[in-house]
Amino acid sequence: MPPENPTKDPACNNVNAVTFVKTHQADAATVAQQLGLPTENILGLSGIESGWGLSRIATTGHNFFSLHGSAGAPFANGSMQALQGASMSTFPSYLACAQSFAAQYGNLVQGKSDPVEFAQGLMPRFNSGKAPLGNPNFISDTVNVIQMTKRRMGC
Amino acid sequence: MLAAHIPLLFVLLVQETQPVRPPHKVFIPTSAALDVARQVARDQGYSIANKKLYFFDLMMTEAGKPALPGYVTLGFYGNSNLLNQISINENTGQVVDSLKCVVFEYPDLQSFQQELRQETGAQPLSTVELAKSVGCDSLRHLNKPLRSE
Repeated sequence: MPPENPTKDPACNNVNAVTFVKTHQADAATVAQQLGLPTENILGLSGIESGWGLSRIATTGHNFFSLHGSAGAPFANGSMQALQGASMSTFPSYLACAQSFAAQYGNLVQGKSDPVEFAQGLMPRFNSGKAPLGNPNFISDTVNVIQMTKRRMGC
Repeated sequence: MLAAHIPLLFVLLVQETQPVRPPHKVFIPTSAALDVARQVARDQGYSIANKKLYFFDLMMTEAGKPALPGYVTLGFYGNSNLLNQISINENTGQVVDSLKCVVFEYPDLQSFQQELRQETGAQPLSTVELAKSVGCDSLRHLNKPLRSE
């Protein structure tokens, strides 16, 4: 077993999160540029919404932003839902999903580079911030994930 | 002189040649993981009896590998939004949300954790070790249930 590297950033220990970041970084950068944002804002938001791409709606429907709706949503190619659950749009790719997020919510975050302002901009339309269905810690959780994402981009 | 050392040499030789015993591996069935995830959700105050609103789903890579190596991970969803990524350490039973960097230490998780550790022989990880294993700088402790059904 190779010796552990003491200088390795602990953020790099979550292998699937790092894989997600590396896989989607270029597509996230495309949409982030359109919105005047750092890549990590878009990439981090999709990371926390999709469990680093491992939620069922992400793995089977390429919906990485928890976008509710039908096949009629911008850039969508269908919809799916959990049994008795809410309808979620499905997409052909990460890029299409990110473009749909930008089309639906981009005006809330345009030019908000600071992670706190970015997260604040998404409330209450994207996340109510109120339990039980919204996340009362939405701002701090999103900011933390954006910061971790930035570090993981360097892993 | 040499004869006096022979028993010691024999012990050292036996120790050297005995194969290292691998750690005892215990498999956490999905049903047991689901029980734990439901307890965590209830302890956070969610009324999970409403199955139209809340559901749990295993989280794995597309290749069928675990979301976090060494952990069984379930997603907890509300209105199809991911509320928690609940990961259960396969050796110690400690429960974390690696997305939000939280460790769940509710009292009603202890019996499961003790039973698992009796089987695996593992000791609980320190908070620092646990945080490191899931890629967090630190972990926020949640140990007081808000409500239970």
